[in-house]
Amino acid sequence: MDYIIHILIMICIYSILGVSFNLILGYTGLIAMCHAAFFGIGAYTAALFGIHFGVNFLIGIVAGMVVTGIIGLLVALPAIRVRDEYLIVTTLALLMIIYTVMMNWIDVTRGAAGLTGIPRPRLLGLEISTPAQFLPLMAIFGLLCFLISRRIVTSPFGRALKALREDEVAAQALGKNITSFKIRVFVIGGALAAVAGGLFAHYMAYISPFYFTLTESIFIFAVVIIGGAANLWGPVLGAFLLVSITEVLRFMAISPLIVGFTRQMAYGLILILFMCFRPQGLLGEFGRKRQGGEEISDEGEGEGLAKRQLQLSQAEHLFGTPSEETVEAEGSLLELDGVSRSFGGIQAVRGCTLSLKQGKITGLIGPNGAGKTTLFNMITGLHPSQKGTIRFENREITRSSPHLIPSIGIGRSFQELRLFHRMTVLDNVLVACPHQTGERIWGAFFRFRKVKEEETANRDRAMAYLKFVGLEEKAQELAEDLSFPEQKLLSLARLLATEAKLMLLDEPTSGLDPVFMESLYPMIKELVRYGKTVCIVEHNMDVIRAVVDEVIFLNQGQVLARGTPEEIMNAPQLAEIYFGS
Amino acid sequence: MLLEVKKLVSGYQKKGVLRRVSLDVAEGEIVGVIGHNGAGKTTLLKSIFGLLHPWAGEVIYGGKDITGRSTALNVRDGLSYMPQGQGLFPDLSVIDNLQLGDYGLGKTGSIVSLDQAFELFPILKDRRAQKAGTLSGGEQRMLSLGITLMQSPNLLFLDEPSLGLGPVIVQHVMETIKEINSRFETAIMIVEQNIDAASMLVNRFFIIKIGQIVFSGSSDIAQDKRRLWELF
Amino acid sequence: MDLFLQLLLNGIWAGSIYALLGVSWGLIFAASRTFHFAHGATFIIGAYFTYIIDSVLGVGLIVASAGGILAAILFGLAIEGILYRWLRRAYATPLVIFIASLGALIFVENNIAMFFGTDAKTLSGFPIKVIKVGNVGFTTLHLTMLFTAVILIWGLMLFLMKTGQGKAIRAVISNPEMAEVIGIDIKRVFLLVYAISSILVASAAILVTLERGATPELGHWAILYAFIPVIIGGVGSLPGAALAGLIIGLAESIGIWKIPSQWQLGIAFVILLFVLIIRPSGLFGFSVYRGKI
Repeated sequence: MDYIIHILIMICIYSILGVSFNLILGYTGLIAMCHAAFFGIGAYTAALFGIHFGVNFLIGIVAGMVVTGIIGLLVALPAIRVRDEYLIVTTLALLMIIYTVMMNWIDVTRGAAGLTGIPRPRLLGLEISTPAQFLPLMAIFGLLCFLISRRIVTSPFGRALKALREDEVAAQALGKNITSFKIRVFVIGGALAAVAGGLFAHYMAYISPFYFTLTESIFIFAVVIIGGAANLWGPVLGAFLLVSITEVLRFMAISPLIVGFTRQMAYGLILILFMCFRPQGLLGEFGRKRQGGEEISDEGEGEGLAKRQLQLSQAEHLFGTPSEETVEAEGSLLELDGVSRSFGGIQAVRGCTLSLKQGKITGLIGPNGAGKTTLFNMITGLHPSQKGTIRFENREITRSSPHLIPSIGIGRSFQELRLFHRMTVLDNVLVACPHQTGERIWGAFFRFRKVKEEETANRDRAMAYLKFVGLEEKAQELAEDLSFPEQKLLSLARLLATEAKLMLLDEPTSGLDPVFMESLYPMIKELVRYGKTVCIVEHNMDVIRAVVDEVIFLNQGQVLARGTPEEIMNAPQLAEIYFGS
Repeated sequence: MLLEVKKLVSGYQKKGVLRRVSLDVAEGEIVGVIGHNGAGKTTLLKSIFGLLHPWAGEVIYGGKDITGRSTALNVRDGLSYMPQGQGLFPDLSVIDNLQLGDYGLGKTGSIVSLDQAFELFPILKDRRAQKAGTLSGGEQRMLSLGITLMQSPNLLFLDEPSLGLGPVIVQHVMETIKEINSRFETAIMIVEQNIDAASMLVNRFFIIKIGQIVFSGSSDIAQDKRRLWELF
Repeated sequence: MDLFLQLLLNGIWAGSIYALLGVSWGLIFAASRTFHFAHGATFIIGAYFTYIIDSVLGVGLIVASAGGILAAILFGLAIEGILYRWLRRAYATPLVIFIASLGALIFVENNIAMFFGTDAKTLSGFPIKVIKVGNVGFTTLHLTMLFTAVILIWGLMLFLMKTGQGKAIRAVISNPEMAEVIGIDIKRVFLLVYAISSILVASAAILVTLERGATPELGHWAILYAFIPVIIGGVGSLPGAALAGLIIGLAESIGIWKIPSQWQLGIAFVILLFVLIIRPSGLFGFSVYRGKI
C-alpha cells in the first residue's frame, strides 16, 4: 500500500515538473534543457535551509524558488534576447554547470555522496513522515501548481503567449513585448520546478546530484510531450504514464542496476515513436505542419457579400460618432524626412520624404522592389531607419521598438497576413485589444475583478469588430480554417482592434477576386469617417481608384510623385516607370 | 510546342494561387508572363519546374509528362530556373558558383564552357575569385543568369530578372538574355512586372491576374498603356 | 613562466578535442539546420565500438579505431537517412525532430550503459610516452590529439574547397533553396555531411577514451563541447568553430590556475554568455542566419 502511495507521490512531483515545463516548452515554445537544474536547485536550497537553519520547510521552498528565479533570469536575459536556439545551448550549459557544482562544491553539497538528514516537514505542529502523510501535502501542492498554471494559460497573459508562439512578428506588431513575456514564463516555470524540488528533498530525506542530470531533463520533456504539450492535463497524464511505466519495469527487471537503464531506454524509445507517429502527444495538438492542397472554390463568394454589408450601427459603437469636423485637424499625422535603409549592399529606401495627411486614405504604389513594404517596416520599427527622422503627431518615433508602436497609435497589417492560425477568430482579435491588465502577471493573479471587467468589455468590442467585417458567425472557428478572403477580413478586424489612429494596410486586397475586393472598399472608406488615417500599399489600380484620396508613387526607394489617382495614372512618365523603361 | 502547361492548379498549403492556368512555349521562343505581385507568377514557375507540387493539371515537356517531377531530373533534361532575388550562393566565389551550374548535369557535363560564359559575362571574369555575396545587384543578377547558362538549358525560366535593378543594367541583362536565346537556341519563359523591359525580347505575352491568364497575344500590348492599367 | 607555458600546452590539447567536436557538429548544423542532439550518441558509439573491437578481438588499436569510426558513420547515416528523413517527410516541425534526437541520445546511451556498465572503459595498444621540453611536459597522446585535429579539420576544409562534392555541401550551406534549384540532391548531401561529421566526432571520441576512458555520460559532455564552439565561433564558419574550440581550451586551462577545478565548465559558459551579449552572431559567423527552430 505504501508503495502505491509512493507512486502517487512521485506522480504529483512529476506533474508539477511537467506542468511547469509545459508553460515554458508547450505554451511558449522555448526549448530549455535546464529544468532538471531548476528542480535540483530547489531541492538543494530547501534541503540546506532545513539542515542548517532549521526553518519551516515552506521557507526553504520559497528560498528555492527565489534562488532558481534569479539564476533563471540571469541565464534567460542574454539568451532569449538573441534567438531561441541559443537558449538550448545556454540552458544545457547551465544544467551541466549546476551538476558540476553539486558534485564538486563538497563543503556545501557533500558532492556525490549527497545530502542526508533533510528534516521532515512540520505543518501545524504535525510532523509529516510517512508516505500516507506526505500524500495530501503533495496533492495540495500539485493542485496549487496546476491552478497557477491554469490561471496563467487562461488569462490574457496566456492568450498573448499563444499568439507569440504562433507568430512572434505579428504579436509584436500588436504591442506585445516578446522578450519580456518569454523571460517571465521562463522564470515562473523554473520557480515552480523549484517547488517540486523542495518537496522532493523533504520527502526523500536524501538527495544527490544524480537525480538532476540531463537524463532527468529529458524525462521531463517526455512527460510533457507524451501527455500532449500546450494542454493543461497533458503533463499530468504524462506523469502518470511515465511514472507508472517506470515502476512496472522495476518489477520486470532482473537486477536493480538494469532497472534504471531499461526505464530510460524505454522512454527514449517512446519519445522517438511518439515523434514519428503522434507528435501531438496523447492529448495535445502540435507538431505537424499542415500540408496538402484544397480545392479553390470559385463559387460562393457572392453569397457572403450579402452578409458583409456594412453595419453602420456597429461602426458607431466602435469608433464613436462620425464627425464632419474630424477633418478639420488638417496637417500631417505621420511625417517621414529623409529616411533611408539598406540591406547588405542594397539600398531599399533612400532619402525618402513623405507625409500622411490626417483623416485621408493615402495609397502607396510603385513597381516591385520600390521599397513600399520596407517603408512600413521602418515606420513600425521592424527594420529601423538608418538615417532621417519619423514623426508621428509631432513626436519623434524614429527608432522605436516594434512592440511600442501600437501604443504610439500606429497599427499595420501584413502582406502575408500572419494570423494566429491555431487560435480562434475571436481570440485573434482579442489579443489585439490594448491595455490589458491581465497580460501582466500581477494583474492576472491579483486583480481578478478588473481583468474580468476588461475581458467582458473587450469581448464585446471584439465581436463588434468581427461584425463590422462580417465574421461574427465564425468567431469560434480556428483562424486556419477560414477561407482566404475570410482570413483577410480577420486580419483587418485584428488591426482595427488595436484602436490605432494610423492604419498601415499592406496589400489588403492581393489574392482576392474582384467581387470580394469591392466589398472591402466601403469598409476601408468607413474608417476615415471615424477619424482614422489609412495608408494602403497596393498594386491593383482598381482599388486605388475606388478608395484612395491621394497617391504617393515610390520608385527605387524615393518618392517620385504625389497626386490624385487620375493625375498619377495620366502621367506618361510614371506609366513608363511602373510598366518599365 | 516544347512546353505545354494545361489547366494547372497550384498553391501553398491551404491557399490556392493558380486557377487552371494554360500556356505554352515553342522551341527557341521567348515568352513573357506579366502580372503584378500576388498574381501567381512565381507560383507558376515553381509549379512547372518542380519546386512546388501542382494540385491538378499537367506539364508536358518535349512530349513527356513532367508534372511535379523533381528539380534534379528536370535540370538533367535541360530545364533551368533562375529564381527571384538572390539566385546564387553568396558565400562561394563567382567561379565556384558557375561551376556548380553544371553539377546537376551529372556525367554529361555542360556543353557551355566556362570561357563561353565569361565571354557573355565579361564582368564576371574580372570578379571570378570574389565571393558572390560581395557583388553589386546587377553583377549578382548576371551571375545568376550565368549559372543557368552553365546548365545548357533547352528551356530557361527567369523570375523577374529586372527586379531591383536600375534601367541601364536592366537593358544589359535583357540584351544578354537575348544573346543566350539566339546563340544557344534556348527557349525562355520570362516572368516580369516590368513590361517594357520584357517587350524588348518577347515574341508573345501572357498576362496573369489573380491566378488566371487574362490575356495572351503579341507584344503590341506594351504600346497601349491605358489598357495595361486596366489589365493590371 | 613555465607554469604558464604548461597551462598553454594543456589548453591546446583540450582545445584540439573541442575543435574536432565543434567542427563535426557545426558542419551538420550549417548544412541541415537540424539541432542534432543525438551527436552525443555518435560520439559514444565511436568510443565503445572501438573499445569492444579492441578488447574482444584484440586486433590492435588501428583496426579497432577503424571499426569504431565505421560504426559511428553507420549510426549517423541511420539517424539522418532513416529517422530524420522519415520525420521530414511527415512534415515534422524542427522541434519534433529535436525531441526525436533527444530520444535517440537517451536510448543509445542507456543501451550502452546496460551492456558495458558505467565504469570507465580504456583502450590498450597506445604506448603513452611522456616528453619533456625544458620544464614543461606532455605525452605522445597529446601530440596525437593535436595532429589528428589539425589533419582532419584541414582535410575537411580542403575537401570542401577543392572537390565537387565539397562544393555541393558548401552550396547547400550557403543557399539550400538555390541548391535544390540547380539540381543538387539535397538528401545525398545530407548523408555525406553526417558521414564526414561522424569521422571527426568518432576520432575525438577515441582520443578522449585513450586519455581518460569512456563512460556513457561522455555523450552529454561531448555535445555541450560541440555546441558551444559553434555558437561562439559563429554558425556557418567551420574555421570559426575550430578556433573557438581552441580558445575555450586555452581559457579553461589558464583559468584553472586561479579557479577551483569544479568551476572549469563555468569558464566556457561565461565566454558563451559574453559572446551572446556582445556579438550574438558569433565571432566569425554569418551575420544573418537563416532558419530557426
